[in-house]
Amino acid sequence: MASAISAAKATVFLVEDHPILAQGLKALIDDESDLAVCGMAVDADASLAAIVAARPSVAIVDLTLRSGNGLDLIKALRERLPDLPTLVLSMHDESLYAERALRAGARGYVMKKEASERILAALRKVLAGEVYVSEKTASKMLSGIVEGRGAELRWSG
Amino acid sequence: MSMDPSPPRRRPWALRYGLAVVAIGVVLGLKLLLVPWVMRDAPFLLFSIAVMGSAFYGGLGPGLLATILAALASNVFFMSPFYRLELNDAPQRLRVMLFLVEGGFVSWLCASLIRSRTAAQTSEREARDLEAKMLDLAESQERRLGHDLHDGLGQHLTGIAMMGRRLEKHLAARGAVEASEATEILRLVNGAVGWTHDLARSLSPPALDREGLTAALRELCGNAKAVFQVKCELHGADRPVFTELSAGVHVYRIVQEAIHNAVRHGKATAISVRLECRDGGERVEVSDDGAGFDPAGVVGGMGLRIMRYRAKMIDAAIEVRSVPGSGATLACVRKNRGN
Repeated sequence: MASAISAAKATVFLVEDHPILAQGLKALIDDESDLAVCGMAVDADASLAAIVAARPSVAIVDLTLRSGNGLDLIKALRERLPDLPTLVLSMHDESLYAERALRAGARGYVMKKEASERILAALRKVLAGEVYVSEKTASKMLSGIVEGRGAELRWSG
Repeated sequence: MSMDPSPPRRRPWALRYGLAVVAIGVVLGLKLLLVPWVMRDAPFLLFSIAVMGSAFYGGLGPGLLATILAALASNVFFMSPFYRLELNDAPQRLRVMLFLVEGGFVSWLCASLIRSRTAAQTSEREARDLEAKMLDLAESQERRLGHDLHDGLGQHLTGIAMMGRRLEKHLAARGAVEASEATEILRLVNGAVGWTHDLARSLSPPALDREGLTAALRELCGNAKAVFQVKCELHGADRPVFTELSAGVHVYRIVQEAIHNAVRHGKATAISVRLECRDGGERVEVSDDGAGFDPAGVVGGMGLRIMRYRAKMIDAAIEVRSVPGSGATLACVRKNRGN
């Protein structure tokens, strides 16, 4: 029975360089019956190979890493594993970075200061194939399209 | 900004003494030309100008040299017997003596005037350099503290919040009475996370380095709205102003201080930040609907002084317009700097 449940668990790979945060995140995720952390890495270079080897269901990527850049990692992952959804977990303001992260191929954006409340919901949404951003960011992006910024989005994307 | 306040160099001695000789020569020539009109009965007339000029330009030594040369020239050309260096009576000797004393005194006064003027210039420059260094230091310390809060403490607390979240769930699942305590602790930790984030943002604007001034100002306005509960809008965000990072930092701090003042002193409820560029000039303006103030009355205010100082560092100036009772407008303006 236990093995049947664990077989059904979605696996999460963490790319996060802050130890306490990574520990808290792992504790929170592992506690869920349908989720499990299958690997962790602290920098962009080491994590690409580790993620390809681990084949997780989803990867959580911090944008600011000790070495390398989270956005570049997301782009590289999209090339190597096009089916792997990635979720950005960043301390940077969502209003500034969410759009860029999504264009790079991320499927969701969660700010670290809100992570303890939102990360599990975000993970489930991304695993279900949907996109997760805060309501504020979603409405900002939609109004951008309504106000005709769509052309600009296409052009710079 | 110079990091090495070297004292102003003293002029070379040959130039200082040479000029004293030339000055006496010129005055002597002039006096000889004027002989038909003023006769020869005022032997020391005009020489004191050359003495003062020499002392002012060259210091005590050249002043004394000019005094002695003037006395000799006066004796030779303007005291009988003419064209001979000779003092033929007591009154003449006394007049020359008095002129020497007067010249010496004037030279000493001018030299000490120059000395104190030089010292004042030096200390003014040192003070300016020190001010610049202190501003730089404060800026870099604020940024370091902001980064530490943002990258370190903020994430540390977030990690703790996540552990707390797990604990809360476990306690709740067990139906433990402590579950509500855990919820309260979690709420407080999350409050601390937000607090840390806001502090970090006000100390070191994260958008400024990476995104430029406009993005940082947009974030600043958003932050002001959330923190002070006021309207704060950014206008003209498509106009590129103060695009170099070195200027952007100062403009950002000026706008930050202006918004702060509008809320804290003016009790403003609506603030607008406006970017303009016209004819190669740039302008960032912060206006509010607050209580306003008398611009003449706050000239000595530290906040405004630092704003003016920051503006000066980037070749800009601060313009303040306010009438007590009807809001205030503060602008950081940089004129066209040409090519």
